[in-house]
Amino acid sequence: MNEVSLSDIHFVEDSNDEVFVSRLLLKKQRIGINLVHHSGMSSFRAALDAKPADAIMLAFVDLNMPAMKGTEIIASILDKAKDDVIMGICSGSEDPEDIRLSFNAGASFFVNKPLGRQAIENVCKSVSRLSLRENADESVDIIVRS
Amino acid sequence: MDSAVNKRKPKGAIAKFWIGIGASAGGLEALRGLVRNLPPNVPAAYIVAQHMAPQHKSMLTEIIGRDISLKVVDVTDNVVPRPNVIYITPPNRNIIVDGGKLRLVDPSREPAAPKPSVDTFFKTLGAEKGKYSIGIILSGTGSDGAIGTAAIRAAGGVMICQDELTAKYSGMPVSAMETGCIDLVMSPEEIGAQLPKILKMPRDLDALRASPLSLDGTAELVGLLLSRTKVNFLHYKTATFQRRVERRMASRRVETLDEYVEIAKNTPEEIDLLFKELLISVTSFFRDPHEFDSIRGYIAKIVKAKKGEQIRVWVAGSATGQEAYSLAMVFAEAAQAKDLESLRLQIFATDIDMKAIEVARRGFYSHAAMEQVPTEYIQKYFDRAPTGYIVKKSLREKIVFSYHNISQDPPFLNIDMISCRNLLIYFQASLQAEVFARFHYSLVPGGLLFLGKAEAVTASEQLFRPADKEKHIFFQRPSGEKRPPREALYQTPFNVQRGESSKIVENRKLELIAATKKFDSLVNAIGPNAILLNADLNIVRVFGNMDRYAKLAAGAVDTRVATLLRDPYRQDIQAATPGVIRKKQNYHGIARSDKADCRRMTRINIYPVDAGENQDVHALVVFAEWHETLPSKDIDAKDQVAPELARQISELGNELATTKENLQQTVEELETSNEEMQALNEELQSSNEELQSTNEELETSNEELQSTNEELSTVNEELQVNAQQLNVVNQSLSSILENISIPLLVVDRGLVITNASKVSETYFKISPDIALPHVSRCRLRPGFPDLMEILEKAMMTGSPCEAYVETEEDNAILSVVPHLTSSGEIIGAIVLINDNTAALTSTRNELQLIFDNVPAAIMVRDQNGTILRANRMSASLLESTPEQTVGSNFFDYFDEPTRTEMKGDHQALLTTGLPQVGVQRKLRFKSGKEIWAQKSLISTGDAKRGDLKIYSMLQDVTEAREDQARIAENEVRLAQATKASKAGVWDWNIVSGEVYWSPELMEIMKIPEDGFGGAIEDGVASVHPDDLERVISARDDHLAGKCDYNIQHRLMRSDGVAVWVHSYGQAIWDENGTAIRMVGASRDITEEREIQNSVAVQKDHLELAIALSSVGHWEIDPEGKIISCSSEALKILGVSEKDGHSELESAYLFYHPDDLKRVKLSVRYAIKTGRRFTCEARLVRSDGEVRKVKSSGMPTRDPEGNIVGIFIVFQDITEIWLREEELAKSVAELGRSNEELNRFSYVCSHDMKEPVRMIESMTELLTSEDFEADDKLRAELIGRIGNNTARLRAIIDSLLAYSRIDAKITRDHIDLNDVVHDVLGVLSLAVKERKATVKFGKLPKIYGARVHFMQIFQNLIGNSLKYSDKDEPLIELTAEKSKDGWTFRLEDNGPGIPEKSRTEIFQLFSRLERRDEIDGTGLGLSIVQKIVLQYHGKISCEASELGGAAFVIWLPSKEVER
Repeated sequence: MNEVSLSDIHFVEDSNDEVFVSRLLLKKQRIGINLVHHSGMSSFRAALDAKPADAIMLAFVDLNMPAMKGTEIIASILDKAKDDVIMGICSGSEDPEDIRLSFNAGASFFVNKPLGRQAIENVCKSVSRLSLRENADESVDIIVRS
Repeated sequence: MDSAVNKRKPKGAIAKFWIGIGASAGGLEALRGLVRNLPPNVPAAYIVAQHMAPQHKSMLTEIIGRDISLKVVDVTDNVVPRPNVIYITPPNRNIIVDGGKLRLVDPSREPAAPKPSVDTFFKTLGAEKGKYSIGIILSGTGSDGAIGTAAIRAAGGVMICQDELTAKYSGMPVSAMETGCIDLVMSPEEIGAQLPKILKMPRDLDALRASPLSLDGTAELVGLLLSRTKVNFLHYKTATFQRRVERRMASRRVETLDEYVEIAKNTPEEIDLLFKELLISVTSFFRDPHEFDSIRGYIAKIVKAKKGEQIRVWVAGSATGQEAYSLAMVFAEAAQAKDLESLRLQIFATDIDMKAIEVARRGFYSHAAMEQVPTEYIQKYFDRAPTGYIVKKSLREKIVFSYHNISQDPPFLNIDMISCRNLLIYFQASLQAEVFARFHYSLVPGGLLFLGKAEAVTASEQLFRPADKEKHIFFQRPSGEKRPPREALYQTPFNVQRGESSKIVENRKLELIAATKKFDSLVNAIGPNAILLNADLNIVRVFGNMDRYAKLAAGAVDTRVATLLRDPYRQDIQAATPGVIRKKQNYHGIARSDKADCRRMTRINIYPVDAGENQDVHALVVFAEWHETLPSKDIDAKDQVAPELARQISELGNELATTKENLQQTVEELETSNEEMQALNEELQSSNEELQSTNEELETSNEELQSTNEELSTVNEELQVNAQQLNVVNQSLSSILENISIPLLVVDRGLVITNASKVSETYFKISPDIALPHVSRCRLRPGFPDLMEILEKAMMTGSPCEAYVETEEDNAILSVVPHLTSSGEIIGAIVLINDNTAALTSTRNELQLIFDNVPAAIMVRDQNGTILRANRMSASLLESTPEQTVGSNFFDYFDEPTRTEMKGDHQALLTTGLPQVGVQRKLRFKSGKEIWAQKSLISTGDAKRGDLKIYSMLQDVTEAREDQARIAENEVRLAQATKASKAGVWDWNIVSGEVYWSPELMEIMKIPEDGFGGAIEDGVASVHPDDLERVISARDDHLAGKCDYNIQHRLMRSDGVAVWVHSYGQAIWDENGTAIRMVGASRDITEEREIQNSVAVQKDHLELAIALSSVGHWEIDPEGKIISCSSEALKILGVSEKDGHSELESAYLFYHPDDLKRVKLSVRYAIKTGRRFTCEARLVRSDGEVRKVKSSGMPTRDPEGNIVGIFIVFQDITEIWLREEELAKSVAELGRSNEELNRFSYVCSHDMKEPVRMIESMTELLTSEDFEADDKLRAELIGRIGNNTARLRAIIDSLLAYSRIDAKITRDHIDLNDVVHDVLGVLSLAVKERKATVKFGKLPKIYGARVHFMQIFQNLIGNSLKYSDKDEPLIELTAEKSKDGWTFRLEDNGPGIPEKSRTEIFQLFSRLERRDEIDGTGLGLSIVQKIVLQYHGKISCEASELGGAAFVIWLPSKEVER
């Protein structure tokens, strides 16, 4: 079993403010990871296409977006993706119906905003392949097993 | 009169003791008290010496004699006193005892001496009779009798005097007591009662003094009354008391007082009756009108003086209240108060008669009682009642009626007026005095006293002065010290009032002391030596030193000027003082020199002292003293100078001395005249008292007579009624005697016939011409006993006697009954003759007729069977002739067995003598004839005497027996049939009225065997009252032959339960067509009726339920033929009964074609399977209306289980159906609305939470301590917070706009051209910035809310500008009128909207662009859509020919065109 530390996480989000806050929060919480922002489906698809074949990708998708809903994005991606793409919803909604629809669409997790350490810890609890590791310099890495 | 006494008494019966009685003023009352209690038979004579006016014709003898049984006579000269006779000394004569006789002598020449002189009388009495003399001193002023008292005692006699308490005037008794010669002091009543003991020798006076009052019968009654009623009648007038007692004695039919006392002791009720008898409640409204007219003025003065303060009035002895109400009305009138409530009046109306008080409290008086009340008063102060008038409540409230004993209970205080009318006349003088003292104590100073017609304050003039003596109105005399009522002192203390009273008295005392001191100072200033005199010239008060002017003599202290002052002052004062008091003018006497010191001068000055309106005027006599200052030498000089002057002085001195002597003589004569006048006054007063007493007595008698008169009226009425009844009885008696057919005689004890019936005159052959014939004149027929003998026997034994007369001609009973009174006394006898002769002859003839014609064989046989007499039927039965039958032997007519049997019966009768009645035997004659006969045998006479006879009766009952057998058989059949039918049989014999009820009917009626009366009335009574008229009508109709008797009705069972019966009856008519009998049966159908009723009720309920539920029903047979169809079913189908269908197929035509198949299948299913079905289907009525019905069917079967039809009910459920459809629509609408609401809440929560969350996160970062950020970053964060805040605000504003769309906004006609102009004005900046072009054609004027259309066009044009991706945006707005509305089209050349999003864009918070790219809330189009929907319009989005998006809005004309 291989364990690698993720260097990037992808965040499909239409709100710049949300991304801005998430970045500041991850930095403050010393999560050693790079947040890649996608404002829409086209950008995210390009990133998927650009991903190395054996690389594992962790993506957070906002639920409510103008052109395409988060569940639609996940559903469309999962049709073609394999196990190397771990996707889930990161939303401000706590509506059980939204959670149900998200998992029905194929989401691996459903966490609430803001995207910070708490959200990532919840993702790790939902996805067994993922875990957190605290480093000596108190920074935290996301470990993925393959 | 004296001669009469002498005649009555045997010669020599001279009284052993001579009792002299001396009396003056107030003596009459005392004298009457004494004589009433005198013993009936003692060896003493009584000689009365009562002071009287010389010219006055005395009534004393009559007055005294009225009360007692002792003889009362006037003294005549030389009379020898007889025992038990009272001798009255006549006026203007003195009496002495001389030579064992009474002598009348001329009175003393001294004018002042009273006549007759008691002293003179007693002195001679003592001297003559020695130890057998007894003197009694009663009430009187002065001191007459005192010297005589000493004389009797000196002679060895006994002296008694009246006590001070009971004496109206105590002068004479006190003077006598002061001599120290009085042995006993008692009340007059006690003196009378104790005389027997006093007369006993040797006299033990000490024991007598210690002994209590002798309790004679009257005193015992007084005691009994006191103990039961707490009212003391001791001081009530004895005569009145005794009269009332005598009335009670008459009622109880007792003759002696002792007997009555015995009854009273053992019967408390009798005491109550006596008490009631003593309370003479005679009163009326405005009694004595003249007095009332007079009192009005005084009452007006009281009202005026009180000036609105509380007025307190006491009506003592108010009886039934008329007096109190009369006074209340007078006060009310005097006050002229607007209403009685404002009148401050309190009347205390008191009495000791509780029943009278109850009447007074009710205030109800009959019409007759109102005669004296003025009409205007009646209208003002009374309410009309059915039988009289009731005092108005407002007037009644002014009066407090209460129990109060005037002689025992504490009096009311601070009373302004007392009315006590005709009460004091019942009191003795002593009690009157006490009551007056109480009234005086009770009244305010100067208060008013209103007395009765015969009442005056003579004995208490020191307490009251007359205001109007004739009208018996008096003022209270104010005095410094009021004497509290004696008995009140030991009554229950009156704490509150006593406290207040003592305070007032204390204040008054202080005031009095102050006034006295001021008066003393004043007198001291005028002259230190002075005396204060009252009108009687008695010294009331002394000031300074009076040694020089007064002298004190030995003996009792006398304060009179005449005895106390020295001359010449005495003369001056006596002469001048009356004038000073009368004229109220000062008097200054001449200066007098002292004999011892000629320079010492004295002058008497007299000043009137007026103490106030209600006080007597006093006189202040001041002895002014001074020394003449002239030196003696001057006099000497004068003497020397003027010897003539000295001479003249000497002459003048002599003249003065002479004048003085003359004056002295004149004064002495005046004194003598005064004394004479005083004596005369006393005599007049005595006479006045006598008259007063007579007057009182008359008034008392008058009241008693009124009371008696009422009783007599009642008795008279009773007597009239009795007389009327007696008259009726007499008439009845006369009528009876006239018409009675029986000889009747009424005889008295002397056997004189007092009454006789008309027929008795013939029967006894009495001549009608003789009045009251003797019974011996009666002639009786032979054989009758001696009438006189039998009458005497009956009257002697007191028992009825009878004699039976039985002769050839007569058969009668003579009865004699003693005639008794109600007390059992035999006052005669009654003779009655009951003559039966005619009746007997008639009976005999009738019997012979019966014997000859009766349809039975009657024979008289001897003991051997030989026929002695036989009627025709006997011969016929024995198949013989009457001649042959007589003499033949009865038994010979029968065969052997029958003969033996008949002889056996014959022998049994002879042996036992017991009659054999109604025995049926089968007789077989020798001829072979057989019959059934009913045989009766009776024997008379005696075989030993040879007169034995056997009466035999034989009756052929062969046919009857056969009939009976048949009847019995029929009865058995009938009984069985009746039992089977559970019906009861009844049989009514219309002729006799008897009714028979069979046991079954009795069972139905729950009546025991012997419980039915058997009369038609009993039968009728058993019919239920509500059905009785119907039953009788049916019965009568049947009896009249109109119809059958067949009726259902109710009978009342014996236990009270009603049962329904079905009765059938059949009458039987005689040959005249008269119904004589009616027989029938009644069957209990209660259960059947209950079932029928129950079914009927259920049917009614079912029909009601059908009517209420709109359910119709119909029934078809298996072949499809309609058997029945209810009216409700026809109603649902919308057809009338005549349009109904008889075939199922035709009925099917009503069903909607789409549902018909289903209905048919259901019906077929039911017929085929026999199961029920339910289906809903539509009906199409003839008028085309579609109704929906719910049908339920159930096969009906015959007893064998075969289906014979289908019963179908169907219910019109159209309304339900329509409501359900409407409900479904509403549910769908609600679901949609709910969904929208959910979405609304969701997006609200999501889109609103998002900026909030962002603000929260950013703020948290900013405030976090470990957040490392430079200023630039912080500024950025703050800027982003501001953006999110603005966004949140924009969302809230949009939501508010969205929510307000539903609000009611007033619509009006608006020009959309103007609206668009305004919108462009708002958006002009954006248009300019974007270099846009907005085109719009002619827009219509519509009816709507301007704000709505501003919002629509602003949002749509704004969106086009906002989202346009062209450098020069183009926007076009057009409007087009269509058939049903207006279509507005707004197009642009922008990026357009993807087809898939053209619906979504109208949803809340729906956006096609990222917020980062184009700012927006996502609510603009939602708002536009919602406004359009408000107008019931439509909005859609499509591609525009301009290249962008086109929004098409359609608004219906009916909404936007008005």
